[in-house]
Amino acid sequence: MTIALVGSTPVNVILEKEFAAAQMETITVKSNELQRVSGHIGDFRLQTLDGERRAGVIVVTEPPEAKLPGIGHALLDSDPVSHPHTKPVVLLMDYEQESRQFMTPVALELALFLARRRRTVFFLKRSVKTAGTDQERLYQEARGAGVVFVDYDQVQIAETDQGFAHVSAQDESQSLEIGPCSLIVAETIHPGKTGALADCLKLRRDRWGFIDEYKHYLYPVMTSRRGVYAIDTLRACCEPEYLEEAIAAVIGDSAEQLTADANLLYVELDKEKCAFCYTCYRACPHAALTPNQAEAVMEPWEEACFGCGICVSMCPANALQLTLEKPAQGASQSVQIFCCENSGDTAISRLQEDLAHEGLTVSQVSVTCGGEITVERLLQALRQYEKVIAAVCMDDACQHFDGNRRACAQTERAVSMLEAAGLEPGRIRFVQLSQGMPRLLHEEIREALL
Amino acid sequence: MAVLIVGGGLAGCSTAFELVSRGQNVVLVESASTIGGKVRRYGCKAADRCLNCGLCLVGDLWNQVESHPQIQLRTETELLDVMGAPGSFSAVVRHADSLDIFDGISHIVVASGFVESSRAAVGAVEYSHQAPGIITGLELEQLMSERRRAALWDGEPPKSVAFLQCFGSRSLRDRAQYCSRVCCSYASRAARVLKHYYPDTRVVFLHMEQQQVEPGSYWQSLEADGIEFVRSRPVTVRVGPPHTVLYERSVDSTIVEESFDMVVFSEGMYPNPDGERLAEVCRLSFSDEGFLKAVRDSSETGVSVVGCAGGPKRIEEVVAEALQTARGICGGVR
Repeated sequence: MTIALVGSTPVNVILEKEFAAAQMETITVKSNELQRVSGHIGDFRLQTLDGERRAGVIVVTEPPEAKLPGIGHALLDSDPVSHPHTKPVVLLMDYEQESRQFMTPVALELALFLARRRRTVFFLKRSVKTAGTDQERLYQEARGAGVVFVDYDQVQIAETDQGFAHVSAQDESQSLEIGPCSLIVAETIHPGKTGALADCLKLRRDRWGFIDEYKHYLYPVMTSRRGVYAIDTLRACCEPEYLEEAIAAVIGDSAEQLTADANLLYVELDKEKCAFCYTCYRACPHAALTPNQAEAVMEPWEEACFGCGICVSMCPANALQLTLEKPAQGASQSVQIFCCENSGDTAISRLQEDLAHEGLTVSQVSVTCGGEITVERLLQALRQYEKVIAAVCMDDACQHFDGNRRACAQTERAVSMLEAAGLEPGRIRFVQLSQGMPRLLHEEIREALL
Repeated sequence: MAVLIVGGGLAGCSTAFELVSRGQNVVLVESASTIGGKVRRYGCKAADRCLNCGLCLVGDLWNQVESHPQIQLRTETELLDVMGAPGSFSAVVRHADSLDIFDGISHIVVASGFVESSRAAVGAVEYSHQAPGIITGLELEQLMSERRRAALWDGEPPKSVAFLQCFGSRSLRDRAQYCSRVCCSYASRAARVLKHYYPDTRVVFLHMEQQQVEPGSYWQSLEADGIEFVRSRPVTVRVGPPHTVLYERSVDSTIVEESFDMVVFSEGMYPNPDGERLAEVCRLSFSDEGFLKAVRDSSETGVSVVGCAGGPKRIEEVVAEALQTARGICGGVR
């Protein structure tokens, strides 16, 4: 199976090696080159600037952005290690933003290193975070080595007359003035590129804008989308155990999700029982049920279905149930066009030769007017076809009043349903044309197919 | 062949359920009369919205474990000895006065859990005093689990509540230098729930340090909700009501005396005393903090340690560890 690593960080090298050891092939996609992602676990299609790439599982390795907090332009004397100096070194944590847990061991090790070189080290923090493995020992050692730990409420960094940095920290009753030779400030973490990436991959974000890893079941690597994992590579640099766990989780979980007997549930519909009442259609948060007007039944759509069972619980006719069996895949690589007989129909008839010459096959459905095109028909067509195009008349050219505008509204609704389902919205296209614009339709078909 | 699980708390039951759903047979040995351990008594800590306490991950685990045909559940039973080599252990268990031997044990999972630093363990008179309004973290959890829409409990809401954090942790006297990790998160969430039900109640945290509960400005957001934080070390509690808390305030090194209607001891997690016996039987070692630790990779020794038997962990961490262990036992990657 192929794993797509989205984001290029040094950690990718380790990941590639580890995944290769588990017989998993990796491809790397730069996060700024990723444009669209469609498909589902086992068959993701990543649209990049270099073309389409396929992967079974996506792992986001793009780190959140780490920024140095703004501390002005105060000069610092020298680097803390090499230069023998009587002035102290200040490590400043929780400045501007509460520092992450994983930064504490790094800072503690640095403080310990400096203290053992007989430097005076001040460790300024709001609270020490030593809950991780072995961090308590580090903390004790650092204290033993003479690092001064200071809990502050407020801290200011000013500039002295000579232009050197001056740190003053206060708590409720006392204040501490330090003129350090070096000031080491913990970085603040921002979503950075992961924000845009989360939107592109349609992952839920938490209230600070990061990829929501908190509630998404068990592992910190899981996201709200099946088959997409996120490894915080910043944290992985500081915590090797986390990286190990994350890799094991991605391998273990993706293998399980892909095998048929794992907890992959799909909704199944009993056509005999279905009353076609639209209850499930309204309830489904993933737009996984679509009406089939011809047979007057709903049809579940396995690509969008998460197996949440909301529809099952709401169906008044008990026609829906969850099943472990994956229904057969329907979509193939072709396109269906709904053509208004006043415009698109004629245009496509002029194109037949060109299309045959290029080897493009399209399935054409003629409609009397664009008004016939409904959300249901569009979604129904997506079951069999990869792309669907609605080709209707230009504005003000409808011979039946405003069928073209109705088609536009229906297409927009269908596209928004695709978006809500986490599917590729570009699978439904809308074009307005007249009989004399076959080229325009030709372009549209080529774009859809290629 | 079967997997032997020692301990029927969250870690043991999660591992058992994950193992049977992968087709293994499981023998689950629990020393108490029911499974569920301490988590069974925990309550949801949602205020007006979910606060991510992780309890939802437990769900209907207990019923599923109790009713599963492939899980052989033995309550009021303890593991006495293990014989044989990895892959084919024989386990001797005792139920009441009868001994039982299970042959063909492929793997042993030790999930003996933790004990809370209860009032008795500390030995101070005030902690062992059963007074209304002096409760432990676990009792607070029970209040949360029994709450109703309008109130957390019958009767008057307290005017002031003190959370005594780091109780029993970070203490040389109690041989627990470590931080118990979970108290900050459960107590702060419980404080939010208190504030949600009784907005006029004064809530004060007396703590030695604050761990990270959630990224972002978590503690600042609690302060914005009107919860007070005082960095201090409580010296003693005089039982009331109202209860008087004497604490040493670190900022000015003075002893402060304050009265509260309710005092919550956020108990730390201590190693289960059963661990010493289990370590000998299952050939395990101890971490610096006194919790159990596997000597080597569990695929070599055939023994894994899951859950708080190996150190303080949050609910979601325990569930994740159980899942990963089950995968490892079933020949997955690890």
